[in-house]
Amino acid sequence: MNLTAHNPASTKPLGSDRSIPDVSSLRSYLRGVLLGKEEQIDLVIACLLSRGHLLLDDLPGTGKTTLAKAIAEGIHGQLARVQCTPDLMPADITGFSMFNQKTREFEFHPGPVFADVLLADELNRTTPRTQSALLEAMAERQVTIDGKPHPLSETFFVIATQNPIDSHGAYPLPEAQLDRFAIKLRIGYPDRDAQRRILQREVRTVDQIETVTKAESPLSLSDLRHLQREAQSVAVHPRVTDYMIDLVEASRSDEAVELGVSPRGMMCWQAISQAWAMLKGRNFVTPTDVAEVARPVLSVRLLTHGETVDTAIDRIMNSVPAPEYK
Amino acid sequence: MSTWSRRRVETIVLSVVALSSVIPHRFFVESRGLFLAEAACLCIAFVVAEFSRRFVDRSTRAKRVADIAAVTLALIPFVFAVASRTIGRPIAFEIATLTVFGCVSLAMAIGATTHRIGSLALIISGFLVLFSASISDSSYAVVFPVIWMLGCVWHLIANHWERLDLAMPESVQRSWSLRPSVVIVTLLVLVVAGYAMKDRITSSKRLTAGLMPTSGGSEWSDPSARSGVGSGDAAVAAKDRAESFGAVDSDIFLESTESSLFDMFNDTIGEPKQKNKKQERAQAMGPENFIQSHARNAKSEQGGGSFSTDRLPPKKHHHFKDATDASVVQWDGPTGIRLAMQRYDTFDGHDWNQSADLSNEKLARVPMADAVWFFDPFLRGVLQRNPDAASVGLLKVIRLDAQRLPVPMLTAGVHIKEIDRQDFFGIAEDGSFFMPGREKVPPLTVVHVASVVLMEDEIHEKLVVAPAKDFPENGSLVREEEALRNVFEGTLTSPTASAIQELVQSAIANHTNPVDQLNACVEELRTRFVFDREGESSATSLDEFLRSRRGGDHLFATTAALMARQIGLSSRLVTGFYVRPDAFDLSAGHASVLPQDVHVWAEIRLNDGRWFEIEPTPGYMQPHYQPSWSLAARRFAVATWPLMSVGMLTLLVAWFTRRLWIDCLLTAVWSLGRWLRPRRRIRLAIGIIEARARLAGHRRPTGKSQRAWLEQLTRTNAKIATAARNFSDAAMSCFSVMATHRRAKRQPNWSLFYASTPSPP
Repeated sequence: MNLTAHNPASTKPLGSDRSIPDVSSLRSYLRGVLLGKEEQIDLVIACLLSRGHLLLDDLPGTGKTTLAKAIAEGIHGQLARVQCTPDLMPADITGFSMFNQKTREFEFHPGPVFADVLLADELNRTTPRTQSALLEAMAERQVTIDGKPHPLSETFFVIATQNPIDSHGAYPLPEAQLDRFAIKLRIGYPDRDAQRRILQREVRTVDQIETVTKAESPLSLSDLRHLQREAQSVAVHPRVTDYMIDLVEASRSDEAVELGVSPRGMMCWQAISQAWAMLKGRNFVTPTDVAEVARPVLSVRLLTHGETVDTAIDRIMNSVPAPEYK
Repeated sequence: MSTWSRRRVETIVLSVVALSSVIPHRFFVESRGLFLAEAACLCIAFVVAEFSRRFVDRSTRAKRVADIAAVTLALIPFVFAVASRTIGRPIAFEIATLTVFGCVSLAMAIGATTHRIGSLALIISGFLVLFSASISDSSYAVVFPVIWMLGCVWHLIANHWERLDLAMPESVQRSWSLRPSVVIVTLLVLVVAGYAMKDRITSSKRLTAGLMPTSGGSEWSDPSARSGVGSGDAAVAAKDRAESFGAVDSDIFLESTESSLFDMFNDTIGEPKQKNKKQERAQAMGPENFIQSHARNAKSEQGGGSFSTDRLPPKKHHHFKDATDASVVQWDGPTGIRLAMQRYDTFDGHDWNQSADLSNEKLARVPMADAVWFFDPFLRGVLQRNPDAASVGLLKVIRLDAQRLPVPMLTAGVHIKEIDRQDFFGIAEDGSFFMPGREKVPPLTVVHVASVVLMEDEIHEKLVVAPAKDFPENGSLVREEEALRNVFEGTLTSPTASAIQELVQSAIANHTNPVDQLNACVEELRTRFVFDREGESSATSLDEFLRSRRGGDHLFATTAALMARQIGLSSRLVTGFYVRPDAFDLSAGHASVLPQDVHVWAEIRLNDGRWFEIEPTPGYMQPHYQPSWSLAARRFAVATWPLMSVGMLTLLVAWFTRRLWIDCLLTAVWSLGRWLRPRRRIRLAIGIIEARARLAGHRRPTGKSQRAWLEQLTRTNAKIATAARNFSDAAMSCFSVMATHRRAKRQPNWSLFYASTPSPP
C-alpha cells in the first residue's frame, strides 16, 4: 500500500504505458461538445465503458442528439438514428432479408442496430413490439432474422431517449425492459455560464464559418474495446462488494419499493462503479464510487409507490452504513 | 424514517404486549401510586419518542429528543426500582429486571435504524412474554404469550414470506466463521470468571424450585420478596391455612393432641382421638378446611391368608413432639427486629414493674378482604390516617409457653385465619397483645401481625421533652407521665442517680434536640460499654454495671431507660425476642427465633402516645426508622453540599468546555498515533475527525461515505479541501485489493494533514 498523499500512485493514468489514448481524451472531446455537463458526460462514458446502454429522460433541445453524435464521433464509430413512431416496425430496426431477383437469393439488409452507436429517439412513442425488438437486441447483442443470427457491433451502444412531457399516445416502457438499460440520465438545462458559452460559440466571423473544424478525437473503436476490457478488470474490495449487496438488499426490503434491484441490475451497478473508478484514475472501486453512481443506476430500475424514486433512493443510501477506512 | 412502516409498528406493538405481560405481576402487589407514576412516565417517554421521530428528517434536534426519550424509556424502570427501594416500598429485583427488559425492547423497537435491531427487540420481547408467563400463578397469564405469538407469526409471515424458501433446510448453506479477537476476549472473560469463583464451586448449593436468586440470598431476606417465593409448599400452606403447619416437617395441627383454637369434627378421618382434658376457647369449623394432602398413600403389602375386620385405629403421622426445630416462634417478616412480650414502666432501683393499666379487652374488629383483623383502637386510628404505613409479618408460635404474642413494636392488629372471635384477643395492662382465657397460645398457631411503620420525621416531630401536660383529654396519660418521673426521682440511690446524671451530661454535651440527645445516649452505651451476658466479669447489679461498664442487655436497657428519663423523656423496659438477621432460613421462608434469642431493650414515648424502641445493647441491630424523602434529601444536602456544588460546577464547566477538552484529548491521542502502523493511523485520523464532527453536532450521515462527507465539510476552504482530498486519496487505497497484500513503505506527511484537519462549523 502506498499512502503518499501528494503523489498517490492511484492517480497514475491507466494504460499510459501502452500508448493507448486514455479515456480522458474522450472526456475532453465530449466536454468540448456538450458544455457545462461534466458529470453527465462522465456518467455517459462510464456507461459506455461498462458496455451498458443509456436511457435519457429529458426535455427536447437539451442536447441528446448532440451527445449521441459526439459519442459516435468520439469513438470513430458509425451512428444510426431511429425516430421511434407508432408505425415503426421491428424490421425497421433490425433489418430484413429481401429477395434479389437477379441472384434469386434472399439478401440481408442490416438495420440501424448494426451501427456502433444507435440513437433511438422517443422510444416510448413506438409500439411495445418494436420496443422489445430493440431491447432484445440490446441484451443479446445479436439479432436473429430468418433463423440466422447476426452479431452486432462489439461496441454496440444504445442511447434511447424518452420525453417526460407530452405522454399522450405514448407506450411507457415495461419495467422488465427498463432493467436492460444501465443508467437513466437527465441532462437538464445548462447553467448560466455554460449557456453564455454556447451562445458565444455560435457567433462566428465570416471567415471562421468555413475554416472551423471540430477537434478530432484520438480514440478508435479498438481502443474503446481495450478500455472496456480494462474497466472490467478494476478491482472490487470484498467490503465494497458487501456494501453493494447491503444496498441491493435494502432496496428489495424497502417499504416504498415494489421492485428492488435484480441480480442483473446489481451486476450492472458494479460494472458502472468499476468504470467510474477508472474514470477517476483508480484501479479499484471505493464506496464513494458506488454511491456516486447509485442514483442514475437505481432510478432506471426501482419501482416505487407512494413516493418518488429519488426519495426512496435517498433513504436506501442513507440506511446502509458506508464502509469506513480501515 | 418518517414513512409509516408496518414492520416497525408491528415490532412496537409486540414489545408493548410483552411489556404489558409484566403489569399483572406488579399492579396488585406494589404501591399503587408508584406503579401508576412509573406507567405514566413510560407512556410520556413513549409518546415523546414516537412523536419527535416524525420530525427527525427535518431537524437534528428532533432526532436528539427522540434518542433521549428512547434512552429514558429504557432507564425509567431502573430509576423507579432504585427510588422505590429508597423510600421503603421495594419492587422485587426480578420484576424490575423484567420491566427493564420490556422497556429496552420497546426503546429498541422505537429507535431501530436497521432491521437487525428491530429483530433483536422482537427476540427480547419474546423472551420477556414467555418468562413472565412462566412465573405467573394466574391461569390467564397464558393469554399474553398467545397474543404475542399470533402477532409474531403474522409479523414473520408478512415480512419474510418471499424469503421463506431461502430458509428451507436444503437451501441453507452452513458457514462457520471464527473471529479470533472475539474468541480470545471470550476465553479471557471465562478464565477470569472461573478464577473468581474457583473456591465457591464446592460450597454452592442447588436452588430450591421456585426460588428467584435475586430476591435474596442465604444471608439476607429481600423485603420485596413475594409470598411463596423462596419457600416450600408447606410454608405456603402454612401462610394460607392457619390449621396447617408447614414450618417443621409436615404435620397437621388437628392431628396433634395439643389444645386447638378450633374444635373441628371430622368423621372422615376416623375415630376422634382423646384430646387434652382441659378445654380452652375454640371456634367451630367445617370439614372443608381439612387439607387433603395429609392423607397418605396406602402402602402395598403382601396379603396373608386371612383378612381381619377387627382393626386398630389407623396409625397417625408423626407428632408435634417429633419436630426437630428448636425455635420458640418462627417469624416471617423483616429480620433484625425485636418481638416484644412484656413491658415494664416503673423502676424502684432494683425491679421493674408495670404500674399503668393499658389493658383493653375490646379490640376493634375489622374485616378486610376475607380476613378478620383485631385492632388496637388507638393504633388503628393511626393506620386509618396513613394506610401505607402498615407492615405485615407472619408469626408461628411453636413452643411459647405464654398467653402473650411476641409482636414487633407498634403492632396495631392481629389476625388468625378463620378466627372471628373478639374474645380471643386482648391487650394486656402493659400494652402487649395477648390471648385471654387460655394457658398459652396454642402451639403451631399462625398469627398475621400488622404493625405501624414509624418514620424518622415523626420521631423528630413528636419527641418532646416537656411532660404531657398538654393532653387534657387523656388524663390517664398525664398521670402516667408524672408517675414515671416521680418514681425515677424518688427511688434511685444517690450514687446511681449521679452516675447516670454524669453519663447523660457527658453524652449530650453538644446536643440540644431531644432526638439527638437520645441518640447520643444510646451511642454512648453502644460504644463505651461492653455487652457480656454470661462472662465472669459481667455486672450483677446496676451500680456495678455503671462502674465496670460491662454487663447483660437488661442492664443496658435499664440504663438507657433511666438516661432517657434524665433527659426528660418517658421510657419503659421491654422484654422479648430478638430476630437475628442471620436467622432467616431462605428455603423455609422464615426466621427461627430460638430460646437464646431472648432480649431486653427499652422504649421511649412520643407525645401522641406511641412508643418506639431504642437498642442500647451493642451487637444488636438498631431499629431503623425510615426518613422521609425530604428529610433524607435535606440530610444528604447538608452532609455533601460542598462536594455536590463543586461536583456540579465541575460537571457544568466540563459540559460547556467539552469541545475544548475533548479536542485536547483527541490531539493527545493523535500524538500517540505515530507509533501506529500507517493503516491504523488512517483509522485513528478519521476516527478523530468524526469524533470532532460529532462534538460539533455534525455527525456523518450513515449512508454517506467518508470521502464524500469530508469533501462536503471542507468545501469552503481550498487549503483544507486539498488536504482532505489528499488524505482521502491515501486512505481510500484501503479499498484497493492489492493494497491489502502489500506493506506500507512510505509515510505520509501527517503533521501537515492534522494541522489542517477540518474544524466542523
